[in-house]
This record gives sequence, structure tokens and C-alpha cells, in this order.
Amino acid sequence: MKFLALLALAAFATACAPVAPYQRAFLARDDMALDGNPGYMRAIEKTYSAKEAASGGAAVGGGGCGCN
Amino acid sequence: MRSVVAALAIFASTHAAAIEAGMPAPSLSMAPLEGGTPVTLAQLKGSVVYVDFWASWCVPCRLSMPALEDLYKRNKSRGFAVVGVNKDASVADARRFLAKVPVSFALVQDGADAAARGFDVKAMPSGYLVDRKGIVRQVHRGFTAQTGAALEKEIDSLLKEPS
Amino acid sequence: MAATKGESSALAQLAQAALALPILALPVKAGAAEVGEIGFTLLGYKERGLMKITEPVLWGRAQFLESWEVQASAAIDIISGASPRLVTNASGKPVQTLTGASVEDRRNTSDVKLTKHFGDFSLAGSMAYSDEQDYNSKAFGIEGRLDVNQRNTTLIAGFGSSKDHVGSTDDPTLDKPRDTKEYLVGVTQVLSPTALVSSTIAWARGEGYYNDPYKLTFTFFPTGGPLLVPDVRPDHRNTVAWLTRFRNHVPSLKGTLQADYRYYSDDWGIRAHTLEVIDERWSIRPALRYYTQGAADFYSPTVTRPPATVHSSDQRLSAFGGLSPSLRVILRVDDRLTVEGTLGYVQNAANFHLGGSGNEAFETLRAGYGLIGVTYAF
Repeated sequence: MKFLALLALAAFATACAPVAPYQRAFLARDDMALDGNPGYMRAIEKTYSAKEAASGGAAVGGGGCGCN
Repeated sequence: MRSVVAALAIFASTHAAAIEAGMPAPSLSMAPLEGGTPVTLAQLKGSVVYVDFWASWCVPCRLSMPALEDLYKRNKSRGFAVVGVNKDASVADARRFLAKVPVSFALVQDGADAAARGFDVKAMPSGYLVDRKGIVRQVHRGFTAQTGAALEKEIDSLLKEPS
Repeated sequence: MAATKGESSALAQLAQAALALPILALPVKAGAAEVGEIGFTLLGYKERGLMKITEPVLWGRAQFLESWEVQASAAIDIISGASPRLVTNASGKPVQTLTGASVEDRRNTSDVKLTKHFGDFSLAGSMAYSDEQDYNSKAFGIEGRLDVNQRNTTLIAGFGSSKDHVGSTDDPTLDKPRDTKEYLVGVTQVLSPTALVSSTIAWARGEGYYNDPYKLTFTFFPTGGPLLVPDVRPDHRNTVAWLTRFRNHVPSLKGTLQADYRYYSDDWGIRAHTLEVIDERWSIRPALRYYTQGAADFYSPTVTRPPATVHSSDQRLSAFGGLSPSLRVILRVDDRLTVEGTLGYVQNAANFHLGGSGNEAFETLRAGYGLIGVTYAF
């Protein structure tokens, strides 16, 4: 946990040098996206969360399910 | 410490040469996208030149590239030129875009970011309208329908000026 | 252009789609920059001996009027099979058992999200709806994003509210509400031309009916008769979920590494960690997901005499871990059409729990899933 907090801080700290708007070629790739294909995400999301206690973290406003 | 110095250096370099209207266009030598002898803006003095920074990953470029091609075709006989500076990671990406959006104006690559830094490009796409004497007269950041309409008027008025 | 791929994923994807727009004749008509994509996904999920789910999903997203974006999806879950209902220690040790006939249920879900861009700031509103025989949920959310630092940093804040109604096919008179409010803040930071990181924290405060109407605990004691106790959970639940996502592209290897870690904690006593690592080379993505959770304070596979006021033997509240490898293949058929397929396997077991000691009554879950998807860009 602490390691991850430090990693997060280090990551933000080393980003003093901004990436210029014309250097965004790789960042615009599909595989660099935070969220994937909406159909894939919608289909996969309940696969795991219906069997686990943990949920959430990425977005708000999604409805629940009566997963039994 | 090193990262602070690096950050300051980058800050200095990015803020040293911000090209805005009224300043002369930087003298740069750029390699054509598909190889060949380098192109310089000095060679184009006497023409009205639009230097446009574009890439396949830039969404408004899907609007700007066809618009510029149209403006180029209609005005090239009056001394209008376009130089499209590509900012793709690889030429293959640029080719894929051009297969869908073919253009006939000059295309150059800028792998080392020399041109982008020279103009201090702050947005994608960025377009710099240079008059017949080599002075930047308009800077367009981003591209919308309004940009296209405004650009047509600006090009028309600059073409009327003598070299 | 937004700072990172996350918030401009619709825009960046569109950059790769075929351009069917007519060559612009100035002055430009409004709507010349309308672009979007639609897709269909089909999921098949099967647990060994238990549940089977088929889920078709239809979705679409589009940009319009230069600064607006809309995204919507609709899905149907077709569920059949059995789900463990009773935990009994009649045999000496507590075990999950199935009681009664298998169930058939259908869940309809739909959602829509509308985003307006104001330069470096964007505002989005969303609504979601879910409906099945014994449950329905209506939710809405708003989210604001701000790009700063030459669009290298994006700040995100959001609020969501959901109103659920819980019922039971065993008891048609059951109709209980449950309300949840969620708050989210986050930062996405570009680290280099090939790497970015995003971290978001979401808090949720829920009140209402959390009991599972189908779960029972049947406990035998050394002396005296057995007790049959229904599932009774607290009437509130406060949760925190902290999700950090890392993306790093290596051009020389033509591959991208994605790593997601989520820490979860709630006031039922559950702590959970999720780690997923995905490696993309060319169009093949092997992925591995590891999950571990601790038990809720009121979880136990047996009850005491007298039983506690709050108690559940639902193994989804116990201590266990899960491992899920998956493989995804994405094929760009042409400029407009993309086809993909995924195969995954999930195994949740007590001995996968981090530290080893998961709950002994946990019955290992083994499931496999397959997914095919088609996306058309216009």
C-alpha cells in the first residue's frame, strides 16, 4: 500500500517536464486508453463484480444489479 | 536536482521562441514525408504559405486536411502554398491517414521536433499563415468550420499583397 | 485535444476510422464533423455446475456539433442455472448447497451519457437503468473534467446517485429500497510521450436493504435443535475504492503494458485488492487478474446460539482470492470494421487468498467465458 502511494507520488513528481501537444502520437493509441471498448467493458464488468464484494473506483452513476 | 534543471531548460526552450502574428517565420529545413531533398521556407518566399502541423491521431485534422486541400487547389495558381508538417510517430501512420484523405500539397516530416519547437506549437493542429515577405500574419490553433471560413478570407487578402 | 487517451478515447478512436465525409466545400455545413461508432458484443459465461449467462450488448457513441459527445448502451443478461442458497453444517463441516429448482431470469440494462466540451473543461451527465424480476435500479451521475498543465494533467470530479428496489421471487410482497450516493475525485497525469498514470478515489454511502433474500444458514449444534437463519446485513454500507491505472507503450517492442490496481475497503470490514496486468503485442492481449478479499465482520458459515442480529453466510462476503487469466484478440478488418474475441477463465478459491487462510466453507468457483465483438466506425 505504502509502496503504491510512493510510486504514485514519484510518478507525479517526475512529470515536471510536460509532454508537448505535438508529442501525443503514442498516447493517442487505443491500447493507451484508460477505458476500453464500451461493449467489452459492459459485458465484462459483472463477470467479476457479481462474485466479489469489492466494486467501483472508475466511474459514478452506474446502476447496481441484483446479482444472486 | 537534475529533473529541476531539465524542467527549467525545457521551460526556457519552450518559452523562448513562441511564434505569434507579426514575427518572421523561423528558417527551418524539413525533410519531405516520402524522402527527397529538404524543403526550406526561404525557398517559398514570394508565395503565401500556410504551415500546418497535423497528425493521423489528431481528430480535428480530419476536418482541416480536406479543407486545406480545397483551399490549396483553388489558390495555388495565385501563389498560395501549403506545407503540412506531420507529427505521427511513424510514416506508416501518416500514409494510412493520407490513403483516406489524399492531399496534393507538400508534406514534410519532423521526427526530431525541430519545426514544432521552432514554431513553439501549442495545439494540434496548428497553422501559421505566412505572407509573401516571410512574416507570420495569422496563427490558428485547433480547427473548426469557422477556422476554414476565416482562413479563406485571410488567404485572399494576403494574396492581394505584393511580394 | 484532451490530455490523455482516457477522456478522448472516443475522439482518438475516431481518428483511425475511415473518412466518408465529403470534401468540405466552404462555407462548411454544420454536422460535417459528425463521427462515431456502433458496436455489438456477445458474452457467454458458464460456471461449473452453477450459473450460465448469455449477454448481448449493443452500444454506440458519436461526436456532434463540434463540442458534444453522446454514448449509450443496452444489454440483456439471460441468466439460467443455480446459485448456492443454503450453507449447512449437517455433514459436520459447513458447505454450500443448492436448494430448489434452477432459476431463469432476465436483466435489462441501459445507460446513456452526454458530454459537452468547453475548451479545457468538459461536463458530462449520465443515466443508467437496470431491471430484473426481483430488482431494479435507477442511477444518474455527473462528472467534470479539467485539463491543465498544457493538457498533461486532467482533474476529474464526479457525483452519482442510485435508487434501487430489492424484491424476491420467493416472496412477492418484498419490496425494499436502497439508496446510494457516490463521490469521485481523480487525476490523470501524462508521464512521458509513451506513459501515463491515472488515480481515482470513489466513496459511496449507501442506506437501505442489503439482505440477500435467497441466502439461508442452517446450523446444527452438538446439543439441541438446529437453527435456520435468514441473511441479515447492516442497513448501511460505506465504501472506498481507490483505482490506479498505468499505461506504458514500448515502441521498440511494439507493445503496451497496462496495469490496474484497486484497493477497496468498506465499513462491513471487507478489505480487497485487485491487480490486473495486460500486455499487448500486435493485436493479442494476454491478461492476468488477481483478486483477494477479507471477510465481512458479520460473515460466518455457521450461526451462534442465540444468533447474532447481523449475519450472513454468503461466500461472496468471506475471505478468498481469485485468479483469472484471459486472452483477447483484436483484428482490424478494414478502415471501418474491427472484430475482437476474448476467452477467459475465472477461479475463486479459499487458498488463493493473500496470506493463505481463506474461509474453509468457501466453495471453489470455476467459470469460463467467451466474448465476441464487432465495432463499426462511421
